[in-house]
Amino acid sequence: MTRRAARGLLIGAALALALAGGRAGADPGGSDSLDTYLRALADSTDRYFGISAAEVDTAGLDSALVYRLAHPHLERRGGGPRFGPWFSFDRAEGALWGGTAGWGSAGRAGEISARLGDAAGPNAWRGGAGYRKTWGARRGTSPRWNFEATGGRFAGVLDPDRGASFLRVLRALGDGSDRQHYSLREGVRVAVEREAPAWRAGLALRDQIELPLSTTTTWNLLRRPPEVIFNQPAVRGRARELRAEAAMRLPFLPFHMEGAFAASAEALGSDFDYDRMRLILGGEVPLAGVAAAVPQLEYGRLTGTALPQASFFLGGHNSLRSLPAEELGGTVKALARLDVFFIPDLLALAHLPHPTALPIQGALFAAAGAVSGHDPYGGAGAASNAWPARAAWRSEVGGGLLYRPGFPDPRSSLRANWAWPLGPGAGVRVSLEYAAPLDLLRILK
Amino acid sequence: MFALRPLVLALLLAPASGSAPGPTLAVEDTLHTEVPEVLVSAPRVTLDEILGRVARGEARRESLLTDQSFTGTVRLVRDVIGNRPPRPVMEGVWRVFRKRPDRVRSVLLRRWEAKTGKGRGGPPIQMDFSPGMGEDVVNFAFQPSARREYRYRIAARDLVGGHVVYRLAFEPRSPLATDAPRGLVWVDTNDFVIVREEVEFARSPVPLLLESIPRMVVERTRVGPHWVLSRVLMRVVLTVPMPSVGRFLDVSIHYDDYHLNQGIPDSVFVGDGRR
Repeated sequence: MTRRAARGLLIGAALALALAGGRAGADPGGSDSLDTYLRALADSTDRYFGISAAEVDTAGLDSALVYRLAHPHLERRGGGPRFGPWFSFDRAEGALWGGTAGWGSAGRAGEISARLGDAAGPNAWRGGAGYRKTWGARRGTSPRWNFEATGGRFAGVLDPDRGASFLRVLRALGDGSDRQHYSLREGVRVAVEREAPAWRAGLALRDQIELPLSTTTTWNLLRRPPEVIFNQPAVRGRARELRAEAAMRLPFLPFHMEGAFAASAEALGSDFDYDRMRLILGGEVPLAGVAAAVPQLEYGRLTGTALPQASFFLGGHNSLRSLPAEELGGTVKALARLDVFFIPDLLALAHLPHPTALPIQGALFAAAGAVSGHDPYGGAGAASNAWPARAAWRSEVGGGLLYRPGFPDPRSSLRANWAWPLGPGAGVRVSLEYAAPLDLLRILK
Repeated sequence: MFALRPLVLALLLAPASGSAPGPTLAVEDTLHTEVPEVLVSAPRVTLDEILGRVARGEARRESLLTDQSFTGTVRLVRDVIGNRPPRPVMEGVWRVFRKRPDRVRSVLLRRWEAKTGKGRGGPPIQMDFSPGMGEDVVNFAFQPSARREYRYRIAARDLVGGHVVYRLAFEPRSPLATDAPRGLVWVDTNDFVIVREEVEFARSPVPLLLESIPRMVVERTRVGPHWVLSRVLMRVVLTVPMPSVGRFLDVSIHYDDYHLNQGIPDSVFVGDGRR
C-alpha cells in the first residue's frame, strides 16, 4: 500500500466515523437539526421585531386562571345587544330616521336584528325584524349553510337586481340626481343557502304585498330640481315567489358563473304569474401583472306578467355607464362589458407628489347592451323575443379613475367614469360609483 | 546576441515578481477522490404534487387535534420605527380552550394598557379566538380551495438533518386581489406541514388607513408530534398617526403553554363559546 493510499484510507475512515458518530448522537429524524434551523430563523425575527417578539411574562397567570374559572361571571360575554342609527333618503320616502338593534351572532345561536324608522315623506313607519344563522366553517372544502328569515314593511329599489347603496342616498340628498325607482314590500322572506368554495346554491321563498310608491319629496341640499321627479309605480298585489340561485367557479378557467330563476304563480297563491331568469358569466384575467381584464356577460328574461318590479333595466354603473341609471327597461336584457383595470398608481407614475393614502388607478371599458320586450315605463316596447333586436343595442367606450379605500369592501373602489356612447346619442356622461371589479356577480370567496 | 536572451527574460519576469511579494501558496495535490456518477432514476416530485401533499399534511395535522388549550398574548408596540424607543401600548393575555367540533372559550388572565396623559390609551382591546384548529393564518394559500387563486413556485430546498425543507413562494394570480398577500412558506417534507411563513402585501390592503405592512411572520413550533402556532408578528405603518398607537407599530400574538388532546371536559365551555 502506498503512503498516498494509506492517507486516503485514514481520512476516509475518520470521515465515516465522524458521520456515524453524528448520526448516532442525534435524533434519527433530524428533529434537533430542524429545531435549530427554525430557531435560527426565529432569532432573525427576534432581531427585527425587538420587544414585540419578547417572551411573555407568565408570572401570576396560573393563579389568574384559577380565579377566573372560579368566577366565570367576571368574563365578558359576547353577543350583547347592539344599537345603531338608520337613515335613508329618496324622493318616494323622503328622509327616513330610525334605529337598528341586533342581538347574538350568526355563527353561534343566531343573530336577531330589527329596525324601525319613520319615513317623513308618506309619514309612515317602516321596519321589521330578521333572524340569521350560519352553520359550519367556510374553510377548505367544507360547505357552510346560511339561513335567513326577515319580515316587515320596507321600501326598496324597483330593480330586483340592485341592492342598497349609500351613493344612491348621497345623490338623492345631495343634488337630487338619484334616478332609481322605489316600491314598498310588506311580508316575509325565508332563504336558505349552501356555500362552498367552488359553488353556491340557494332557495328562497317570499310572501309579500307589493305596493307602489309615489314621489313625496323633491328637495335636496343643493336645492336643485331632481333629475327624475316621477316614481315608476309597482303593480299592486301579493307576490308569492320561489327563487332558486346557483353559482360556481368554472373548472380550469378564472371565471364564475351565476344563475337565478324566480317563479311566481297562482298555484303558489300569488296574484302574479311570471318566470324570471338571469344568467351571468364573469372573470378576471391578469395582463402581465400590471393590469387585469374583467369581462362580464349578462342575460335575463322575464316571461308571463310583465311587472315593472320584475323587469330588467339598462343604464347606470352596473350596465351601460353612458346611460343614466335605469334609463331603459324591458323583459329581455343582454349585456356584455369589458373593463381593463391598470394596477399601478397613476400619480406615482406621473411623479406627482401625493399622499400615500391616495393611490389612483385607471381603467378603460367597452360595453354593449340592450333591453327589449314590454317597456315598464309604458313605452312602445318591442316584440318579446328571446334576444333583443339589432336596433335595440347600444354600445359605449370610456375610461375611469379609481380610488380603492380598502373598506368596507377590500376590492371595491370609488370610481369616476367618463363614458362615450358609440353611434347616435348624447355626448360624454360622467358618473360616480362605488363598486367591485366584478360587480354583476356575487363572488364566491 | 545569444547573451541577450537571459537578460530579456530577467526583465520580463522582474515586474511580476516585484508586484507579488509574500509567501508562496502550495496546492494540495496528494489527495485525489473520485465519486462515481449516480443516475437518479426516481421521479422528481412535481410542484403540483408538493402542493397536494401540503394540503393533505395540513388537513392531517388538524385532524389529529381533538382539543387544545394555550395561552394567547396580544401585544401592541408603538414607535417601532424612528428615533424614539419602542413603547408597549397594550398587552392582553388569555387562556384559550378549544374542542371539536366548534367549542371555544377564552378567559382573560391579564390586561395591561399604557396610560396616557388623559388616562388609558383607548378602549380596551377585545380578542375573539376562533373555535377552529386549522390555523388558516398559516395555510390560507395552501388550502385546496385556494389553489386557483395563487401562483406557486419552489424558491429553495434545504437539507436539515434528516429533513428536506421546501421553501415555497406564493402570490395571488389576480393583480386585483389587493387583499390577498404574497409570501414564502417553509414546509417540512417529513410531515408536509408548514413550519414557518413570511407574508407581505404588494400594495396596501387598506390604503386609506395602512401605508404598508413591511413584514409579517408566522411561526409554528412542535409540541409533541403536533405542529402548532407559535407567534404571529406584523409590522404596520399607518398613513397618519393614530391616537395612542402612533404611526409605526407592531402587532404580535404569542401562543404558549400548549396542552393538546388532554380531554378538556365539556363543563369548561358551559355558558360560553359554542359556535
